[in-house]
Amino acid sequence: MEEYTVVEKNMNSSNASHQSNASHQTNASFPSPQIVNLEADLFISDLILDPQMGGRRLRSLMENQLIHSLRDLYTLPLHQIPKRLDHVLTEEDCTRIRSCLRDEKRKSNAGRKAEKCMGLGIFSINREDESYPLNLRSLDGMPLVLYYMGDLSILGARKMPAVAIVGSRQPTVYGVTVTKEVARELVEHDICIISGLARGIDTIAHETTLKYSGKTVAVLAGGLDQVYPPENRDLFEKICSTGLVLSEMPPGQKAMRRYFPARNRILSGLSDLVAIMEAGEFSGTLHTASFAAAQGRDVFVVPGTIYAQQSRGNLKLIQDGADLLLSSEDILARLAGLSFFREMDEIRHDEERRSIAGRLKESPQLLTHEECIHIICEQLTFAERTMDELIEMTGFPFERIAPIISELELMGKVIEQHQRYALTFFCT
Amino acid sequence: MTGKKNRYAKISTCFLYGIEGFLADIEVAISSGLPAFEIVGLCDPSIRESKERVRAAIRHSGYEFPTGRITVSLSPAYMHKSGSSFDLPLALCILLASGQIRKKNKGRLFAYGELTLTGEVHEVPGSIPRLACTKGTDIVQIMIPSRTVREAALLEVTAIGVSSLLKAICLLEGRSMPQQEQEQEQEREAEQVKILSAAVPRDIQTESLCESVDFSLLRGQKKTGRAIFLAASGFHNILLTGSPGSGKTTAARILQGIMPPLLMSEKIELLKLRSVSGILLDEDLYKEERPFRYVHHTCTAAAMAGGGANPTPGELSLSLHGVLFLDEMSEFSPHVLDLLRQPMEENSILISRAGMKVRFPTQFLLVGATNPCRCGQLLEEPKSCTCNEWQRKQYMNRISGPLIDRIDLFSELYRIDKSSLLESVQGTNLHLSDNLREQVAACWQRQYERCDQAGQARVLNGSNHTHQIMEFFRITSKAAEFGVQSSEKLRISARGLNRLLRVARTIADLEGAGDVQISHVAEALQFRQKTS
Repeated sequence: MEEYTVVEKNMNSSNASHQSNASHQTNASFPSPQIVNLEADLFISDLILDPQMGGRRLRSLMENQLIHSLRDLYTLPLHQIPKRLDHVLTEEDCTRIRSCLRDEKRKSNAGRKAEKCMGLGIFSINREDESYPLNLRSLDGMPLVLYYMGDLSILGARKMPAVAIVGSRQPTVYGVTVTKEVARELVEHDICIISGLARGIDTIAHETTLKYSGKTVAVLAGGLDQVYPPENRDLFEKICSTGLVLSEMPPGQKAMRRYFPARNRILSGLSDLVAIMEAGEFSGTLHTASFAAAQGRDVFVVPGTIYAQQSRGNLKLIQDGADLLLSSEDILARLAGLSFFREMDEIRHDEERRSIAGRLKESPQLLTHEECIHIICEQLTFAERTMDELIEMTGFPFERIAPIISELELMGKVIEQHQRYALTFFCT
Repeated sequence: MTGKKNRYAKISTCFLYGIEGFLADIEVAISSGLPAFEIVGLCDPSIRESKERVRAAIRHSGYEFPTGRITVSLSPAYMHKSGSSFDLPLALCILLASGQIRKKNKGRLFAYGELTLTGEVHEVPGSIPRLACTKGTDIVQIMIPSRTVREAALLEVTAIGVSSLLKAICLLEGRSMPQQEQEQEQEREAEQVKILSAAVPRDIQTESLCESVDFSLLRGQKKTGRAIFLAASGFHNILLTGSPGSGKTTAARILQGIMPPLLMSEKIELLKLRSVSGILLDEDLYKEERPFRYVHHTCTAAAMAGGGANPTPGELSLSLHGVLFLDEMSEFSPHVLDLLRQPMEENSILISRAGMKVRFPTQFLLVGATNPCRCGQLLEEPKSCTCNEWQRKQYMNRISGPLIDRIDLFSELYRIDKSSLLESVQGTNLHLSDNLREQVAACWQRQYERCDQAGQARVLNGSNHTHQIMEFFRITSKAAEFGVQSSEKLRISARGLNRLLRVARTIADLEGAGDVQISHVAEALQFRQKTS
């Protein structure tokens, strides 16, 4: 019962801060689920950072299905933590977990912190949440909890394509020029730019994106209240207002040297494609590249001169087989292919697909416009077709197919040559 | 008889100028003097030749050719006249002037026809315009070659067909023919006065429409099927591209068949042209089918545009209100093709000769057919084309840009597969064309109504050269914007955009939609010319 009262107390105490954050809450007299989750997430982060507990033991709790949700650790009374613990985990782990969870101070700390976070406009997402970034969900070793400020929908389910632009903290003029140009061109094609808010290339990437009113995401190594480097405070504020800043670390955590590689794994994981502007021979940027490769993200590298120190890393990556970035077109073409295949995959694995095929046979006139597009694209995936062949294969009349083909042609998805239509895998 | 000083007679007749008939008067004056026979009034040698025919025919019919000075005047004297149609009126006029016969009816008499030496009356080209020019005049009696009474019936002109000079004389004098002659007459032809067009058997009309190729024979060619349907619905010029044997001619034939029958006024205009060029067949009079002129690529400029010292209409005019089919369009001599440009915009062609200018109407639906390249295999799969890129360009460049600019629809045909081939050989019992023709007719009606509302002459979308295209065609601003955007992306010229919107209008008309929407423009985009 004690635990319940603690929770209750925390809830009441957080009411005050709710009022200041009216936009995030549905009813003034009750705490929003958001703040309860925030408290729970802060509690989890605290556990992870505690060497007594650590992320590994927490994960093992989940993996062995001892708890439904990590947030239960915070909201449920201790005695509901299953007794089964002993049968599954080692004795040492069990005692550590038990002692950590018994710590009352930890929970009240989490409550206090949550209040502070709400005041700063910092929120959290948990891996169990719907809004957890789609790109991270499919990867292993991604953070259980993320803190963010700004617009999370940028990375949501129906997200825009995202490209990470990273590079050296001491860029050459060449690197700066390329970064500005690539960032501008990508923004013009509605692509989100992800970077790390570090000095040098990262800063330029963010600034250029904001200049052309694009969407940008900054992934920080430390807590969101600890902006590092400090001279980027203004930039940070600007990104918060139009874009998104993310961190794995709870507020209050200083950016430490060892956190940076961990930050880089989130950075590459969030993006669909990583573009390396300039990297020295032992640059941290190379970490990002290797994370990206491991996560199955394409790495595009700007070729530099063989004389510049800041290009050594680039050239090494190219030698290892990274893609060359000669113009932003390279990135756009690859992204188009990715997003196209992703769409096709979605529909291919979809139950709905079968129903489309069924309905196509029964009553083709009832299919929606989008479904027709998918059917036509699918026919074109395997071979070039003439209009007559398409009509025969789909069973649509000419007047149904023609406008769709025209539309696809205008979008640049389909190209016609010698009266045959083919997919271009290019859709910007 | 020779005692009288000035013996004089006058009969009305007609002559052709271009495709129009003009009334003319023949006057004959016989005066005493040295025997002479003069014809005046700007006539060419073909009329002077008639002297001998007239002389022989009069004698053969049992009358005397008068002696004395015979002066014949054809008026209006300032217009150039030619042909043998003056024989009959001239003979009658001489007989009247010489007093050998007497008119029973005092009113104005009209006659034309060619005489043989034995006095038989033969028909001459141009019966329709000749008969048409008698309408609305004070002529009371019309005599025409007996073969042309059906034309008269069609035009609702009360005319009497005469087969011989003798018969003409009898009619003139108001007496019956001698018994023996009459029997001969009845054998040859007894058909007389005023057969109204209502008397034309209905079943002949409908049957003639079914003769054209049915739409179902175009199996497998979906895009082209739609294209020719649109071409017929909006009178849009169309270019069909396809390998040899893919059915381009069939498609053109079907296109002709799905167009609504000719209107009466159109039909008469067409018959005029045909009768002037002397290719009018009896069955043409009952046909309501639109003309289909198959023009081979060896066609000369004169055959295409019309010509001759005495200009006759060419293919451009003979395809009036119907289909002008140019097979192997890229094999035509370029200057012959360029002849098409002016008539397509002005709906008429002017033939200038020394001393005369003739304007023939032209209003045709151009159906071009061409191979995609010299070897003709470019569109076929598996790829078997042996031409190189340069050759292909050369081949397509033979059709000049300005002409291409006047073509609204471009479609392709492919060699049909085995099963369709079998069907096309067996033929089908389907009558898809009938249904389509009704849809086309309804679509035309909508276009005419729009013209009426705007107070314009009735024209179909394909030949509508309005400048307020947005307003007149009721194109929504969204659709227009879409059209402009796609023109930019697909590099369509301003004229091309104009055509695009006109085709979109026809698509909307077929649906019965009031405004042109984006989807209509998007469909029309597929019929644009594609550079290969």
